[in-house]
Amino acid sequence: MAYDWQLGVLIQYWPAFVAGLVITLKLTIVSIVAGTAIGYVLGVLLSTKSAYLKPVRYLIAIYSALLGWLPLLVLIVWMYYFLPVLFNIKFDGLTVAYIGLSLNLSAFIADVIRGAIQEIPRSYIDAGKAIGMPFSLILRRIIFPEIVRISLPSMVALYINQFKWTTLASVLGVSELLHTADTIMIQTYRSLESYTAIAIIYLVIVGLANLIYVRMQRMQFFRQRA
Amino acid sequence: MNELFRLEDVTVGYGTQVVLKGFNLVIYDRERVAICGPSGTGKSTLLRCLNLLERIQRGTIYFRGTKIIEARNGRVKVLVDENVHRSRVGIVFQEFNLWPNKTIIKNITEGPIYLKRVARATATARAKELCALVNVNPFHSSSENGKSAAKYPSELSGGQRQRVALARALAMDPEVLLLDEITSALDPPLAAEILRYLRKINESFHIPMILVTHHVEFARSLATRLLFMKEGNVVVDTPAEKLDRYYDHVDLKEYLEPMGEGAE
Repeated sequence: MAYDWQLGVLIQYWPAFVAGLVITLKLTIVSIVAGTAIGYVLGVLLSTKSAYLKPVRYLIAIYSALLGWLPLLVLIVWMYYFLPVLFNIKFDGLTVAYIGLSLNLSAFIADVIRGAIQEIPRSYIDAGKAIGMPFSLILRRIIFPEIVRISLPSMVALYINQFKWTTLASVLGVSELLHTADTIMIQTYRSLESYTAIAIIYLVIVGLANLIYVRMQRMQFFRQRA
Repeated sequence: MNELFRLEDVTVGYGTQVVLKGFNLVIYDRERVAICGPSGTGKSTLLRCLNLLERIQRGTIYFRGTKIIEARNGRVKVLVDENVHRSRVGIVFQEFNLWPNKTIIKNITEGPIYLKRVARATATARAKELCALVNVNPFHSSSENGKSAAKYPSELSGGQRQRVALARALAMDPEVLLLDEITSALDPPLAAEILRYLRKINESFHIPMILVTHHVEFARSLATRLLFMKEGNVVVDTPAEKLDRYYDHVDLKEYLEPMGEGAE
């Protein structure tokens, strides 16, 4: 069955695709930064041993479960209706998408950070203590770089997925790439052209990200293990 | 001779297991003390207490006449800044525990730069000297210019890593060096090599050392004084040159096997 490709549509609508891509990237970057920051703090708290913080650790465990177990699509749709009730103000789709994507990511990051901290051999910390490093310095100079090194592969996988998950914001009417394609399809009836265009954009960006990731893994810093 | 460490009535344990009980010991400046004995007799615990890495449950420890830690009736008081104390009392462990994500040079300069506020260039120059002292090349040999690629711990052998660990401890200019089974993870020839470097370090720094080891012969060729511990007590305490007297001592016998090439 021959299909009559009309690539003119793409040329006509390219500014819309660019605008969609910009929103997709914004969603990705903001949620990665916020999700990582929240997740990092939660992960460090989860790794504490203090009895005083036990209730906090339980709360974080519940938080992680709620956000991690719910399908992301269900989470953001639910939030879209729930947040206005909770805070008694109107939220637009974009804001809800930012919050939902960030919180969901933070649950996974917290787990990765906790795992990374557990993997740091006790002896590295002892070696720092032995020469008289205060804990703050050990945290900054020894533990943190180790966390980065150990958790990087999982983090990058989460980040690349995060880019793909932003498509879910389309159900809230956020004009990211997928929603842009939907709109163009409705206006022009050229569904195959517009979806193919965004499929290619996603493939190229994820492909590039993977390439950078592979390069990074070859760096000395990430390979060392005594 | 001045006192370096004095332990009075020191008790240490983990849970219900008591490792040291009512332990007394005086170590003098300029001594090189080797503590030998079977595993689990509290030798390593003793060293870790001297460095304040381990807390005592009862007793007092003095360093150069100053009380550093005191424990009475279940209350433990550290009487000095423990980080300052640790920077004065260097310790090297059995496991080389260098930081794998830092270059050899950075492993050595980390303490001087971030704790002693030594300028990076000065610290690096010193690190290179120390590497030369322990005969480890911290750079890949292919490049002689300033851009030579730095080596990481994983690129070194076990013996070399342990020597870097020694260099790292020395870079802090400690007043005493505690060596916790530093040859136990190495084959005898490598252990003998470490011993050689310890002698060299002793010649250049005249630093007092307290070393814990399984190998009496190893200890003997470096130490000025030998302690033999059993079940948390010192059973033999002798100047190194008079060890022969104890060759028939029932507790020592099995530990006097010569360590191959290590025995000189």
